[in-house]
Amino acid sequence: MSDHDVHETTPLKTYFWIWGWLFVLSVCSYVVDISPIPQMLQWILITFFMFAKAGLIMAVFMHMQLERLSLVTMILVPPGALLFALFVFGFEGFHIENVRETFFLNAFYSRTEGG
Amino acid sequence: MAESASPGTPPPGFTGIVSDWSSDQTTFKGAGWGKPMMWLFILSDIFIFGMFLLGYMAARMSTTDPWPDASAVFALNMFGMQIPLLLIAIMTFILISSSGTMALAVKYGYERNRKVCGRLILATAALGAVFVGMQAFEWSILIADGVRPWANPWGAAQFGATFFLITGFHGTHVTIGVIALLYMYRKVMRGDLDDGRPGAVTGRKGRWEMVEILGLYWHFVDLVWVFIFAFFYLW
Repeated sequence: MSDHDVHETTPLKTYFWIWGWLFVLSVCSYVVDISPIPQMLQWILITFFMFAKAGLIMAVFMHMQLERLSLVTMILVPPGALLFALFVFGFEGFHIENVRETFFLNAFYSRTEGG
Repeated sequence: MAESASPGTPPPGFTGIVSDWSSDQTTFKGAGWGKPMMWLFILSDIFIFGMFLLGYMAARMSTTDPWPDASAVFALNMFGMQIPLLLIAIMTFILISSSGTMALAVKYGYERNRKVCGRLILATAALGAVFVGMQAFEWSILIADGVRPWANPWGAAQFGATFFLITGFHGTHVTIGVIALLYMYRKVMRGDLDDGRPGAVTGRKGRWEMVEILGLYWHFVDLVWVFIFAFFYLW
C-alpha cells in the first residue's frame, strides 16, 4: 500500500495494461460461458474473473492503491454485510423453492395447462 | 492551489487506521472532503445494487419454473447464425473502454493538461451514450419478443422483473454520468478548474479534484456492470 496525497503517480503504461487486462478477463469469462464445461466450474471461473476485474478497477482506476488504509477499510469492510444477506437470502430461497415444489407444484401445473 | 494539511505517513496496518480515526481531526487525511463523500455515496450505492442482485438471486432460487437461458435470450442473429450475448459483449467492451478513457482523463487532469483531459472526458461521455443507446436497443428487442416485468415466453416470470429493474437502474446511472461528464467537459474546456470559477449548480469553486471525483462515479458504474454481466448474463 503506497502513500496518500501522492496525486497521480501511476504511469501511463499501467493504465493501458489494466485496460488490456480488463479486456482479456472479459473475453475469458465470455469464452467460459460458451464452452461446454461443467456448470459448477463455469460459475466458479466466471466469479473469479468478475472479482479480478472488480479488483483491478478499484485498485488502479479508482486509485484505491494510493489511498490511506483508513479510507480503504471504510469502503471495503461494510459490504461484507452483503455476505450475511447472501447467506440469509440463499437459505430462504432454497427453502421456499422446496415448499413450492412440495405443496404447490401440482396445482401450478394444472393451472398452466388449463390456461 | 490550496492543498489540504500535510497528512504525513500513517503507521502501517491496523495501527495506522486507529491513529487516523482517533486523531481528533480529519480522519481521511489528504483526501479533502469531496472524495470521501463520493466514496460514501458509492458505498450506499453498493448496498442498493447488492440488494438488487441478492433479490434477483432469491427470486431465481425460489422459482419452480426454469430460468430463461441468458445465452439464448440475448443472442443476436448475425452472419446467418445465432451468436450468444454478442450485444452484451460489445456493451461490456464499450463500458470498459469508457473507464479507460476516464482514468486517462483524471491523469491528464492532474497534469493540468486541459485540452487532452477535456477530450478524454468527451470521449468517455460518447462511449457512455453509445452504451445507453445499445441498452435501449436491447430493451426494444426483448420487449418485441414479449418480455414483460410480469411474464416472458421462455420461463420464470421473475426474469423480466429483475432484468428491467437491474439493467434499468444501471442504465439510469450511466445516463446521469453522461450528463455530468458533458457538464464537466464544458467546465474543463472553459478553464473553470484552473480559475476556480464557481459552478452554476452548487456555486463551489472549480478544482481539478472534481475530475477525479466524477471519475470515481464513472468507474463505479463500470464496476457495477462487471457484476451484472457476470451474475445476470453469464450465470
